[in-house]
Amino acid sequence: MEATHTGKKVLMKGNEAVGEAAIKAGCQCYFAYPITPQTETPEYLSRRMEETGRIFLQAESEVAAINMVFGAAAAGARAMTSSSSPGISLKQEGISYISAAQLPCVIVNVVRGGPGLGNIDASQADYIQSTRGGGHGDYRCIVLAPNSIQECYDMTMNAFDLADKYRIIVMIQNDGIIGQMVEAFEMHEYIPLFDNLPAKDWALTGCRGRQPNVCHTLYLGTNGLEKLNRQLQEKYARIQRELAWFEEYACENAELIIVAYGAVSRITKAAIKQLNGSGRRVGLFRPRTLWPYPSQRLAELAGKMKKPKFLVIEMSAGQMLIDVQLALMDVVPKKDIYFEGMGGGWYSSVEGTLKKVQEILG
Amino acid sequence: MITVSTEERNILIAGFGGQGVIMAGNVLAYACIESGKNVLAMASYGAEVRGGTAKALISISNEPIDSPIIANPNTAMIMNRPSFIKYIETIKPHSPVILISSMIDYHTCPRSDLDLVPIDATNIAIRMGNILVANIILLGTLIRKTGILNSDDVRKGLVRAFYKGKKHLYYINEQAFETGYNLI
Repeated sequence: MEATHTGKKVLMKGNEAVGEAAIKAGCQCYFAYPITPQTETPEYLSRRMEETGRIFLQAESEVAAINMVFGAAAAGARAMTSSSSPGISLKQEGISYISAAQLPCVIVNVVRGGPGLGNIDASQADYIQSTRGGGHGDYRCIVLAPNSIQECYDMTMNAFDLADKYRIIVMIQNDGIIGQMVEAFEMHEYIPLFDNLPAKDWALTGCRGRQPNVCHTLYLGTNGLEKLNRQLQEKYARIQRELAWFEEYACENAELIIVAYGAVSRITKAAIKQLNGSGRRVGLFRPRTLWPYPSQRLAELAGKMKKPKFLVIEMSAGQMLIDVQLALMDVVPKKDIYFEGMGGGWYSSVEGTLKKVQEILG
Repeated sequence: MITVSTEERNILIAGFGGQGVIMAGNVLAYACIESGKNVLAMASYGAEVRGGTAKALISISNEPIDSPIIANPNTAMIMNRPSFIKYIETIKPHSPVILISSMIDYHTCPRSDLDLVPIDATNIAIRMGNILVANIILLGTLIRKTGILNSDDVRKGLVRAFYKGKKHLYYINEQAFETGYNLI
């Protein structure tokens, strides 16, 4: 859709808002290959990157696109690629290499039904792939999970800042619903997340007058790889201390807290409004960062409940459930963590949520 | 004087790809922005837009809209027979259903609890000189029937939708909207 300016509110698809935010955040290079349901991002950026004098390149494949991001990030540019599940699987080799080289970049995954080529409906079944690395080796990516067009926009800006701050890949895990739906949002100018970002003194910018920088991921015959892994783990521990984003709705005095993210969190919220309107006390806990997972806050909430009960709803077969169980392992018996999952592009529903809550609370 | 309804509407628009299903949805969405109402729109995005049935679901409310998934719309605008068959059972009882009479055998409707509004939009559009504006004729009728939006806001929505690239089509669409609006 075309942007509509009435005051500050603008009407766009999630995928387009991601593209405009990248422009505003100073993304200099964008490389991608089309795949439903994320193609509006390259479509949008094919026009806007040219208008703003940046680099847009439709690569010959997803593998090529991620390696172009590798190169651009190594040169110090703000770089981004986007794709959907099967395309993200193809990128995993490059994602592992970029993580080893500790380069900042942004990757958007508009998750669709899998495994295999699957279908083009919304899904969340790439949760484990996103939050545990996905490629080979011991690495992590920061994973952000928007649930509105405003958040698609804001979080894409944040993603570039987080990537530069920690020299890490930031993934935006969307789903086919959030990517495709149209909502009004405030298209503000770039709002930096931090006052200062570290200088990119590691970038390969030409070494006249200084020692050459080296960007590599192969460490043979030395203890360099052991040292790199130690550095990486220290960095990941630091990020876990510093970053945990979440939203709470009606969690105060709740008898049951539902944990959901992305499109599911919105369907859940609609159900919770109905439930609480009829006298129930059900809360919503929505992780906005999937890695690091806001585990500590979840455990705190459980500690405040008389008889804590949790319900995890996701468009996958118990992937986020593992993080909730880990977060609550010391405070909530496993039997009191309930689960509702759906796969293959099948969505949760308000009716299904009402029924499940009825089963749990009686 | 038409009063503007304040209840939440979940509107289904369905038809063949190419009939302007998505465009009608866009006009509605733009009109909501003009009116200050909240709107959430989801359109079909698969291969079906190249021949099969296409659909758009638009939620309009004065309150924040939570769920992007609408299983049971309470207003519908249906533009072909396959969509009529596919979606008629999903619509909430007593909902207005605006439909193209020349393409849908609505007398065979399996339900008697819907407020069917058959409009011969195809032939009206042909007489206006462009069959493609049938969607906006129906949209005019839908706005009049439901009172969900002020007609001035929809006119502004039309300007938005056709402003860039399709400006030459604005006037006939504006005319189509007026025609549809005044049919009932």
